[in-house]
Amino acid sequence: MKNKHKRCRSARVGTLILLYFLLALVTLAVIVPFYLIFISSIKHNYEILSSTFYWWPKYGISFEGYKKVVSANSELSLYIGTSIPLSFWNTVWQSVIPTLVGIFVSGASGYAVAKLKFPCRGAIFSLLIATMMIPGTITLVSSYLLFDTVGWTNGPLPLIVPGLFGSAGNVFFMRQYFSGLPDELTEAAKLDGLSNFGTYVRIAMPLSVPVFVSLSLLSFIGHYNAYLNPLIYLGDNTKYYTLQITLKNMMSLYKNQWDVILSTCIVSILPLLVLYLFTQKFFIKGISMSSGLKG
Amino acid sequence: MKEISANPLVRIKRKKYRDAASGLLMALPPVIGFFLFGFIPQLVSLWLGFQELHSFDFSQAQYAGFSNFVAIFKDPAFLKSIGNTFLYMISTPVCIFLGMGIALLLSAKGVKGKKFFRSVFFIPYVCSVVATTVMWYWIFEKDFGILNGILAGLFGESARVNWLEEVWPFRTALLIMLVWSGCGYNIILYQSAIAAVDKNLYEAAEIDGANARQQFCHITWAGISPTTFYMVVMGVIKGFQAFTMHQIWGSQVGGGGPDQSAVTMVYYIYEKAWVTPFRYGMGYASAASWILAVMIGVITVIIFNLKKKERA
Repeated sequence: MKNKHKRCRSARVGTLILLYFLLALVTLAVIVPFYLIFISSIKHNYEILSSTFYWWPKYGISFEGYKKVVSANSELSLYIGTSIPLSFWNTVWQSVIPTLVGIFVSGASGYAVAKLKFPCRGAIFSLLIATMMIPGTITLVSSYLLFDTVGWTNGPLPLIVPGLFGSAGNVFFMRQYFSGLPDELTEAAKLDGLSNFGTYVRIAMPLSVPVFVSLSLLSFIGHYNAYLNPLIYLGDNTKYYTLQITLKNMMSLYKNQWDVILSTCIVSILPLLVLYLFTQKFFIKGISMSSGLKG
Repeated sequence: MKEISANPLVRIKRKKYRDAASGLLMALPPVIGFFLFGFIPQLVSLWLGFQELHSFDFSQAQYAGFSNFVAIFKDPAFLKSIGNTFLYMISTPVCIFLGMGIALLLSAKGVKGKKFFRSVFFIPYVCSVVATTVMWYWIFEKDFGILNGILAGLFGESARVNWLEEVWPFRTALLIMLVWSGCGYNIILYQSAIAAVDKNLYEAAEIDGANARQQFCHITWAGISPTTFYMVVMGVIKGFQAFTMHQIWGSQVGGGGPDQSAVTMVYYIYEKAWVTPFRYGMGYASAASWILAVMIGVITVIIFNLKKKERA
């Protein structure tokens, strides 16, 4: 009896070791590429371009790449027509504005559909759900032509304005969430003289901060990483280029200056990484919420 | 509410109207947004599919009948782009199975540091996509890329692979990158799905003498199948619209990758409208995007029906 127990335990330990081994393997698979670009970003460019690879800068550490990346006015700007700090700033404001306004508007819509009575409520909601099914690429060309007709192309407006109207997906998730709030709460607020909008802003929103944060973060990541739309809409107007577009252009316009290109990679990864590390809980919540499976 | 006397009734009625109006106002902006930026462009896109237009000026459009559609299906490059799109969609099931496997590892009894592992595994998802793509491009580079450096160090100089300029190495490398960046999301979803499975079921199964494999097949697999279904549908819709990583690599290697093997359907549409508008143009690209949309629609319906059948 005792022996059997022992065997069981050693088998469990064996399984655990295997589990940790596999988990460590996956961890390495995720981390090593980042390590590689980080370590290379602090090498001299001639070492990066040499055919032998060392896991540590063999010919000394160089911050040349980073120096060029963070300065707003260097020789790099002549090649790429803009600078990394400017592109970063463009990414930030072109992401933050549609994210914040969009979430606020989607929230209002979700709140109205969940808690208020008005004509066509059901129809509006079904229409929004139906729009979620339509792939955006159908309108790639026609949207461009329409924006071009009103003179918005070669600029950031087409990247921002549509987002200000909220998104069907977020309306859906907010509705789910607000449906869970007790009716008594919103009724009481109205008896106290708050308008519908006031109830949303003063009562419903403060109670749903985590949801707002989660969905905002996901939306922000989406905007930050947007590539196809900035690529077609910003055209050759380098003044508004986002980080993604600038980085992509660097590959052909600043060819083989890999210390600079890799430093730019690190610089564009780092802000999101830091944001993620501090707000993980909300990310995870947002993901499980937006899959509609939980939350 | 209904039995209030005459005079306040007017007031209440007015308030009711105001209530309804404000509710409608609050609900409407996303609908207006869809109308302006979704519905109208869709109509225009349908119209454009039957036009010939080589600039961004509507007034130059000329009715072309079905000629765009006919030309597209005669274009071997388009058929190839469909093949490429499906090929890169292999990453979807791979990501689903890897995501499930890794989530199961994370959910195993007795594993410590789950939060740490989960945080790490999710990092690729929050990384700037372009930076990730550039990073992998550089890892796979032929002469100074790290992977070849390592291969050469281990197996000699002849082990270097021309990852980015030969067709199959290119496809393999692109698939590796897609899987690397696509798994994190699935891991998170599966982990919360597995955590949501009723623990009592396992206890009951254990009492009935079910082994680990049986428990997985009958309890876990069934419990997480809605998640799997969601991932399949989303994966297919996303896979059809693949563009960013493919275009960034493709544009570096001979405009479309070796033998155009990076050109997915959206990449094809992008090229026809923005890179070679004089030869193909807006009408042609719109027609192609409708074909893409119909394909997505048909395949989504097929998946939904398969699921129904499985249930019945």
